[in-house]
Amino acid sequence: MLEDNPDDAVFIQRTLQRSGLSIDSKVVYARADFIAALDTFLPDLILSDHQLPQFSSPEALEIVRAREEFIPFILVTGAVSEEFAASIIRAGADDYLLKNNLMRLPTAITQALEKKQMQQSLRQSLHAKQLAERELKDAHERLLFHIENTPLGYIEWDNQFKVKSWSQRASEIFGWTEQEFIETQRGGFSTVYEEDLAITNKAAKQLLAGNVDRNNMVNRNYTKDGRVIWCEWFNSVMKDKDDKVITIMSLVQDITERKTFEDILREYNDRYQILSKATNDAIWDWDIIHDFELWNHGIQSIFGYTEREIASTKKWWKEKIHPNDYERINREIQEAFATNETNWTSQYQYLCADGTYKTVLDRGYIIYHDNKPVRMIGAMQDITEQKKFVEEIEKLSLVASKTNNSVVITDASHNIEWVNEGFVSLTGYTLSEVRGRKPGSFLQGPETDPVTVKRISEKIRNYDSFSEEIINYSKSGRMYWLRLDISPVFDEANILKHYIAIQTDISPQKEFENQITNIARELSNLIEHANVPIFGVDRNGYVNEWNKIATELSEYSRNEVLAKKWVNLLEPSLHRNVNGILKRVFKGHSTRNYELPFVSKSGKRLILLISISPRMDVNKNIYGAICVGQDITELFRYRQGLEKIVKERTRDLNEALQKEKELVEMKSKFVSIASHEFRTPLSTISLVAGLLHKHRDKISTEEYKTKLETIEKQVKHMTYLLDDILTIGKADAGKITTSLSNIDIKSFFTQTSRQIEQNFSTHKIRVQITCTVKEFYTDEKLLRNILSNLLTNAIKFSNFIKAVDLTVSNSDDHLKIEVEDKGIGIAEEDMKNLFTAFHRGGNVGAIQGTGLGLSIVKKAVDLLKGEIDFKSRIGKGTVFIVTLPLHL
Amino acid sequence: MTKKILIVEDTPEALENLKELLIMEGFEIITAENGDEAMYKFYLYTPDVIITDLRMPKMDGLALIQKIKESDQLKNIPIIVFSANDTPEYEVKSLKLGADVFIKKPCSIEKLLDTIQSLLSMPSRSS
Repeated sequence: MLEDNPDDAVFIQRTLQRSGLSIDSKVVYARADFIAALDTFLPDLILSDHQLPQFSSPEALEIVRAREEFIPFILVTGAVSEEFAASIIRAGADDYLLKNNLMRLPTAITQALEKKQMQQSLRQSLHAKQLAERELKDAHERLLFHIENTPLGYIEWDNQFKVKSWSQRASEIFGWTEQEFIETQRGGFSTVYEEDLAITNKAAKQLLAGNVDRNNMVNRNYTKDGRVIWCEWFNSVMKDKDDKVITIMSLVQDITERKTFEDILREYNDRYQILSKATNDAIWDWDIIHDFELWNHGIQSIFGYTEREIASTKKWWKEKIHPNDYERINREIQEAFATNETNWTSQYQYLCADGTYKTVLDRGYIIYHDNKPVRMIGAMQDITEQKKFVEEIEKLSLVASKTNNSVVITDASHNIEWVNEGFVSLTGYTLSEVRGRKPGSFLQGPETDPVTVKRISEKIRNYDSFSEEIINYSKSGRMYWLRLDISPVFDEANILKHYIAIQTDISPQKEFENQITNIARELSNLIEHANVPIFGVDRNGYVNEWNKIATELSEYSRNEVLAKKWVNLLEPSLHRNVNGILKRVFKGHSTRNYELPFVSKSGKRLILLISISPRMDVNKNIYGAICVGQDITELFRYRQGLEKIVKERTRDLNEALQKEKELVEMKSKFVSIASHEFRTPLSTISLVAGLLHKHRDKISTEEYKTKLETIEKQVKHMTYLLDDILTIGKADAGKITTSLSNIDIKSFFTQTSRQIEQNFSTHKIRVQITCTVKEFYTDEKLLRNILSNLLTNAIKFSNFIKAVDLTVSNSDDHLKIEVEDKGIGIAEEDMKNLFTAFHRGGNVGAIQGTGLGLSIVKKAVDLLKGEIDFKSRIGKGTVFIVTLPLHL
Repeated sequence: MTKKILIVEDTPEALENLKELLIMEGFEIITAENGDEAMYKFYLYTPDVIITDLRMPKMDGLALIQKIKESDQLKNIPIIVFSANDTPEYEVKSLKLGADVFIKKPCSIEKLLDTIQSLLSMPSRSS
């Protein structure tokens, strides 16, 4: 309690105690004490006086409202201006009361505490809404960030494979912009190369059927300019809570370059196999002693010589060796003979019948006799194609070494023969470190999926070409996702010679895919499980999101509202407004805190506070709106109630102020009239005194005496006037204290009447007492005042009939006093001002009076909690009826 | 020639005392208890000076002044307002309507008589 007047503080505390509220109060009046009490006393509610020494209620309110928690603030004050009351209510005070009317204090406190509770729960729910909005926004931003920063194209499809979103990168890969897809409502399959339609369809069906959450595939697609490119797709699906697929998200990579390389490799492999099968060696048998040589058909089929052309001498053979090789071959053979070598192998160019040369691999076996070579048998193999192949493999290796993909070539036992630069940079191992080792022995690690490893082994055993994804580890221990394309390489005898593995680090894709899926799931989860209603519409205003709380509040299930126009769920009167808002949102302007009346399915009327924001895709195109709401029905009603209360308070205040104003006016009028009433006798005194002074020689003793009596009379009148004014002043200031006692009815009324009769000695007072009770409990002085004023008036205003009647009777709880005269009566126009101070009837003439008597009577009756009434007819007489409670 | 003064006053005591005083000062006195009566007595007696109260039943002092000033026959008669009303508002109103002097009650006998004398000695206003 902020109160500097200890009496007021005690009075308010007593009022609170009497109200039965259990209240622990602390009274402060200085600013520092007030702030300290907020932290230490922890008030639930603040009652504040308006004006305090060096502090005031607006300042206190500002301090309270700046704090985190809500503390109701009620102004309890003497009198304030209308503007001030309105301004402090506007500034956030919860109520105000005038100190002289604290009856409403307990109710005001209860209401304010209820408001506090309401505020707290509102605050919590507002907080939840803000949190949900922020989380949504964060998640959305993260999603956009990832999408914008991926090296892969990002494409979102609906469950009909219509494009929902198409990133900038996707446009770069395919040439089509998102707009081109959305405008034409083009499906995803339109870009698939015809031969690959079957496999893509199959993969798509898998996703839609919900069998798998994600899959990868490689297929050919068309670009906008008609090129066919190889694309690797990473697809994942998002489902709603009924497990229905809503969105398919795809990451796409143009792998044409890689694919081309793989294809070349395969092609060469195939050719090698075919060639090796088709080749026949030219078998020769040379009798060294006799220089006689025999050839099989090979010499004809390979080199094109006819049987006639073939001479059976070594010379014939030798002549056909390319001059470049001739010396070397001769030397090699001689060396072999000299060292008794049994095997000789060499490569050289050999002349064909058509004049061209073929590359041959010649392998000979030398038979010695007594350390002398006597016979040599061998086979010439046309390795022109093989040589070309090897050259090309070398060239390929060059290409392979240039490619970013890592390439590994192993022998048939899976031992590494060669790796390219890509492998070195990916794994950190150099060729010398890995040559001869099995890739699986050092590249795999704890996270590597054993099932995948097993599958790879099986496929290798079956000599299949295949692709797999697997986790590998680099030399430094970095874990990464690898895509393996493995092809076996066979020799001419169809014997497995090599494996070529093309390895692609797909970690970024994998990681991105995981992130994007997680974020999208998170977003979807956030929307679904936010504890505020969230719903979305597409650009045409059709509902495409409808979360759990939206369902709970509206009682419309997701399925009932999906693909329906949102405005159609609202009352027709709102359509124009809401459509206007949506139009603005689609132009990029969010709307915050729109109060939306909503009728639920069962007819419940709700008020939702909604914020509508545009939904943008990765290219910042607005494709819909998302609405985050809050059910403020309760708050709304409360606010309406509050407005009503404020109106009522303002009205009360205006009335109070009006009364106050009237009171001030009345007081000023009273003073003005009182001064008038004093000036009149003073004027007479002044004039008479002046006359006596000026003309004392001219006036007789008798006259002199009369003049003095006039003065005395005026003084006496003024004394009455003063007494009456003081009485009224006291009554108005509430300073008349009642002192109650038991009064004997009969003796009191008869004695008082007798006394007044004697005072006037002109009239008779006929007293009639018909009471069933003897005594009554009241204030004797006030009662006497009432009675003597009424009887005096009755006597004063009845000139002709010199008798007045006093009748006293009682009911169960009231005493009734009637004073009746047959006097001049009260005119109609004087009746309404009869109890107004200084008002005198128009017909009083020279009858003396202050005009205060009845005003005093009225105040006395009020103090005794009674009522006064009268009946009168002009010229006939008047009766005043006073009823007083028997027990006060 | 004896000057005639019309006193308009509703309080009998005040009227009587003022009348007595002015008679002793040698004036001829006509009295009226309200404006209505005063108007009738003006025409009957054509007084030289009017002394009027403001608060009176039937026709109050302000209405009376207005009436006098509207009458060609009466408008040149000097008017003294003699009132217990101490609000400046009434003083201003009276003077605006054409009263010559406003004297607030109570006042000394000398002041009242001086005022009457000075009004009577003014060159009579032409009609």
